Amino acid sequence: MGRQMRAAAVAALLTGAMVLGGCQTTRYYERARLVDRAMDFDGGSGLVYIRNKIEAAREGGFGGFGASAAGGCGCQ
Amino acid sequence: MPVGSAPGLATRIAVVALLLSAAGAGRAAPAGDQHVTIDLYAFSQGDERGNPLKAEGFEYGAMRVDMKMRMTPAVAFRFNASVARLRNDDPQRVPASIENARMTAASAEILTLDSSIGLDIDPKDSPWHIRPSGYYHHQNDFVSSGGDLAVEREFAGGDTVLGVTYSFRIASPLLRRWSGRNDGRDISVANNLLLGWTQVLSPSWVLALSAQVTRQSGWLGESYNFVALFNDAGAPVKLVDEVLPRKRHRVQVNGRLRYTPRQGLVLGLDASGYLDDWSVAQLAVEPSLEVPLSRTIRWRFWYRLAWQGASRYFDSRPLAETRYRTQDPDLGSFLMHSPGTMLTLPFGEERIWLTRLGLYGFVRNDGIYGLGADLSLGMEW
Repeated sequence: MGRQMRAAAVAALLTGAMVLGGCQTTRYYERARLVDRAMDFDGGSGLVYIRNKIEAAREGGFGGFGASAAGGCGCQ
Repeated sequence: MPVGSAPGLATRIAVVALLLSAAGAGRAAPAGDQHVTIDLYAFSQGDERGNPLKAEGFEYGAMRVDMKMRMTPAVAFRFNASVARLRNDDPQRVPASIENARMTAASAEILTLDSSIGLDIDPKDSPWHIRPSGYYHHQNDFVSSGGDLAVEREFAGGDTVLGVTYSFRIASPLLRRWSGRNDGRDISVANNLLLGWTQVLSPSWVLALSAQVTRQSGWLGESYNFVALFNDAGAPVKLVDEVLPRKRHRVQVNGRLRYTPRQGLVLGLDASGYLDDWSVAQLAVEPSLEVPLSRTIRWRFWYRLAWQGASRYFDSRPLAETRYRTQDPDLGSFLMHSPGTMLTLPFGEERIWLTRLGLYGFVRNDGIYGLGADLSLGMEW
């Protein structure tokens, strides 16, 4: 299970990178909307911290969407 | 892209900062490259059911300091630390049918320290970004330390960022059991590898994909956890220790999409799928909306829906001891609804004073729920 899923994930990432990695999709003057604070994926590190604490502790999965899941806190 | 001009360079740094935040680097909003922020947290968990023999409610309060200071044009110093106080609910009185226990509870009050220190290394005119950091956690019966190393590379003028993050943790829990027995210290180790790809698709769309695998070994349970054995009539008769395997392999894939049709208005959709060799499976989706209330003030809403399938070791009503066993509701099946909202109020231009107020909560269909708030005060420059 784990080996196949890992291989599939790596293949998907590499394929995508090859397809899109060479294409510049915006010019710097087109990025005003992209650099707005609202485009921050997580709304700031303070919110990320507490949401990871709550969701990672209350779910058997990792919680969150891509933060490192090595854990380290054995509290609730 | 003409990166030599000052506006172009600033925009490129901001876009890369945005893209790196998608890969879990935990960056603040890209408005300021340096910041100092203080967060105050309050959280309360209630327990209407969960494991009916265990008190799972608690009150949590914490203060966190987070800062990033640029030491040279290529190197920035990062530090964060949080101090928390967690107070568990009063012990649960167990039914008289149980022969070997009357009360079950973890320590009433716990103080914890979480900290990390690291560097952001961004060599001049280089597409590479390197972020080493160290981690330390301390509480009465649990000490954990470790390190993280994130390496990212920009392609296509910053429209594409590929990254890999490796994290290592080693912990030393003291095993105080629910019965009062002390089994001494054990050890647990976690290795995590995260691969991330973030892509600007157009001036309005950004996509982030990531996959991560974790291998854990050693003590992987909670020492206060117990399992109630039941008789044929359905009454609990005896408590025994929770027993879980000493290895766990976990994998998760994540997708995040953002669409901004106009300045400050953002529609988002996050999704993830998780699987491990304890047979825990999980799917989660999180639509979000951020709306501009003025030129700079933003109001964000999100709603996370997560479904979890139980571990094969979870049994809410076992009749006899099995080799591995748990009644931890967090390893059981549930549906979890997690709504939240956050108001962001920036003031200033060169030096931005930033206030954030967040409210969030969750309700699970197994009777566990929580409600919390975050007041964040900071300065960016």
